[in-house]
Amino acid sequence: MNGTFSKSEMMIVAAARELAGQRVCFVGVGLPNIAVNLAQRTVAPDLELVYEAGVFGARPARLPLSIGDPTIVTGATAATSMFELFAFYLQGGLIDVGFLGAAQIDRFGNINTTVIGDYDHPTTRLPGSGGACEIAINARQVFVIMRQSARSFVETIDFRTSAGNLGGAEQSERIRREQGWLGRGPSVVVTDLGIYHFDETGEMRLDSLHPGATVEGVRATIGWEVKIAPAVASTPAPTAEELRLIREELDPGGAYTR
Amino acid sequence: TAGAAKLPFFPLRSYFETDLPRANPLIREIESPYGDGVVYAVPPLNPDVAIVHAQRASAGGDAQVWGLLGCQKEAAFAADRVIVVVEELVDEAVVRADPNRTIIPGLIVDAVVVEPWGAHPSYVQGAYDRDNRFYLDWDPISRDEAATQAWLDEWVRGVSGRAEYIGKLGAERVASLRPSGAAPSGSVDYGAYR
Repeated sequence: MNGTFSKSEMMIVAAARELAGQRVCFVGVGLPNIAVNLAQRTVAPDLELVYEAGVFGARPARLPLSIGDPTIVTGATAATSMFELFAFYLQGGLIDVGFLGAAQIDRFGNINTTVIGDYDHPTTRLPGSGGACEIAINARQVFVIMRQSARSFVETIDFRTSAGNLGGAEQSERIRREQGWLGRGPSVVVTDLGIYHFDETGEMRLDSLHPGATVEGVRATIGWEVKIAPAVASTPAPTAEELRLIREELDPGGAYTR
Repeated sequence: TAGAAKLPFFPLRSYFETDLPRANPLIREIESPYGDGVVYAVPPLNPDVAIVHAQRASAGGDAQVWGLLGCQKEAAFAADRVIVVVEELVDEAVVRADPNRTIIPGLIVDAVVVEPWGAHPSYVQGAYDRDNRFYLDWDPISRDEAATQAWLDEWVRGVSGRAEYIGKLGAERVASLRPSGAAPSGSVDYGAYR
């Protein structure tokens, strides 16, 4: 690994860059929080950040410690009730990107944030859906950021908390059309090793490798035979400014980048 | 929302194609009575008591909040009894000068508790910040029964009230939780109409 930045820093930078050109982003708990705040300071200064506790158009002066933090209100466009936010903004179709984290994901981008193991007798109980299941359905597209490992990139997720491309593009497109979902589903997954998009069958495909990462390393941390783009790109390394923003402004304590 | 509005359920465009309705049978699929598709229904929640923290309230219980609203208004209207905890007790005229900021009317409030710093270790917009150190310390304490009991003995059972608890935190820590600066709203003119 290049000694000048960590895999987590590369993941956050790559995720932030994906937001270039986007207008309204619903911010999930955890890693999405730092990625979107970096994006607002770099590639997407006009990005409207939406936090589920009831803020539209946040301009956080510091990295919010959680999705409930006074810095997301000060200077925001609107403070709403949670009901208004979910009903009018999200179900109303105003969200371009729902940015989610995940504990488990499958090849079609279906997400588990509920339990590891059996639901009634889990090995690990996770935080649950929160707003994720409705974000996955109602945001126009879904971005995912998560560290990858054989435990998190699995053939079959233990619980489907949030819908991705279901059993594949054909089924997903039919059900979305029949049930009138607003969202088109997952479009990008950014990990500590690379960037994935979804191909015409609705399956995840490795399109870019981060500096230092290898196809072998990717295969070793995915529980299915992952598709690899014919010409895999190399993710440009973080710039000095991106690293400065993460290290000095957003996460000086290294909570996200350890 | 259903609980506050005394509705038997609330429809949501959510849960489609997930395992959540199977895990929680109270989440039920329903057909639109207007024949335009399926949505999911969730039942009302009606708490026995809602405790809401607000920046200020009148003695009559009219509570005003700014900052994140979450579902505090819904919780208060859905509950049988409502306790409002405030940073500051204000004259009714202060409330009446800014009615848009009132989220809960005294009509549904059973008790007002004046308790500055009452939301610690959480925050109150404009008054104090989240005490993150507390949450980090609490994580290992809450994993251990003996440590939790010792903490309760020292910080809950061992103090006479909130003032002593805050005093025990120390002036330096309390000062560090103050906002780093002011960000006042502009005032608006509601106009007088006789």
